[in-house]
Amino acid sequence: MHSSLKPGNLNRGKLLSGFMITMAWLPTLLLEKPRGHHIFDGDDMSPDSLGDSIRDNPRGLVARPLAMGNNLASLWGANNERIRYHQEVLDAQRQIGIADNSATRTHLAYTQNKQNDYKYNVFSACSFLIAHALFGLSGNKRPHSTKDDDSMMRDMVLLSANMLARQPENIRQAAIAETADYVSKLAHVTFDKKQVEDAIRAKMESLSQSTWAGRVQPQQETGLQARI
Amino acid sequence: MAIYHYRNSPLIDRIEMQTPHPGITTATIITAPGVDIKHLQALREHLSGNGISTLMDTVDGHTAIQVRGIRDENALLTCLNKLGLANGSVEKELTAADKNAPKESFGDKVRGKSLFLSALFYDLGNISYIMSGIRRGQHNENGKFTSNDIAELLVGAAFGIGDAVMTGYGKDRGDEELHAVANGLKRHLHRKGIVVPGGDELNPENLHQNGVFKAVDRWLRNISCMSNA
Repeated sequence: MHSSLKPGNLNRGKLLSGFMITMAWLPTLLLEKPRGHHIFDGDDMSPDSLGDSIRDNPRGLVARPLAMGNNLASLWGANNERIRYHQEVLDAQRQIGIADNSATRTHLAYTQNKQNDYKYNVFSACSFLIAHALFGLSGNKRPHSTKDDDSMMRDMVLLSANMLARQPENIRQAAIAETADYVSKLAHVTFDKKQVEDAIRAKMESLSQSTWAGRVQPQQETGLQARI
Repeated sequence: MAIYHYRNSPLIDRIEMQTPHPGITTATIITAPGVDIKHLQALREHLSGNGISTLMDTVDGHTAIQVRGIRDENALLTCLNKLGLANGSVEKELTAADKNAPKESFGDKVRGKSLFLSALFYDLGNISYIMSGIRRGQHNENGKFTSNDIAELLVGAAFGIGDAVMTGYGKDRGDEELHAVANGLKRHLHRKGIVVPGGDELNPENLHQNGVFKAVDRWLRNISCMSNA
């Protein structure tokens, strides 16, 4: 942005391009969430307002349009340069027509060397256009109801059972209840708290009867075990 | 689903591989009968050391390890081969569903790797930016680089650093949600006064003793989505 404002080098396309890339990345940096965060949106089925939508998908709704705008502005800036460089070559050729000497020939060679420099910017802008389109795509929220909801839920139950495997008996029941409460509110989990609780207990029981028994806290027989 | 049968392995009976989403593979390692828990733990630690998440499980009464966070089938198989678990005899069996599965469309492939692909295109654009700065500088009348040329070169280099990280770590591995829930649940239970004993999560306890590089690698994996910004 600074270089595009310099006297003799004013380039509105590049200035706009710098402004837009700043506006694209700053909100994205502020709104971007850690990986896997969508799993916590179990209660928040669909965004109600534009603000919610932007917070849900800053990559797709802020970064992508502004950054692609930046690329189009860059292309405009590169086109301005192309026109300017071409004009400089024509001027230099005209100068040779007026006075053909080593100075005008050197100047012509200089302008001719320079006249294709804008092409790198065109390539960059086009490459970034594709990159930004793909980047926006990567921020799309996974639908709440998917064909692999069951496997996702099984993973959550299994993770819980693994995490609670070595809980001492005296706090195990409370830990399972708290965990079930937490897991039942996650996205993709269709079980209610009681069902999650039962599933965790059943999984811990099956782990304790396998080779993993050494890593599961021994527990007294419960009614649940008797049922299983 | 593809099933890999380990005929001569003392530790593994078979591995069932699935691809729930394009670019994401999950696996279930069914262990051989009578295997020692120490060996299973060592196996989990080895996989964890290679950035693979594992969970203790049982499948139809058999001891099993659920594996998440692998790029593809070969990533896991190579990792296990390094341990000498194959003993030269691994047979692949494709289930009927796998044989008849429709081929992945181009759109699905792109969607599955959109972040990684975007990083590649960012890298190309950055290289072009750097080249542009260099060429403009070389084409100046006295061959001297102006501040404009240097600015362009530095813009390309600065973006390049972030995008190189995104190229290396930008691909989703399929275990992001599990990690998020593991951390969230640990915090939730801690607030309720319940401490989760170490080593029963996605990775065995001694995973975190692998040194600075592994720690940096884990950190980058978590934050790399934001690095381009």
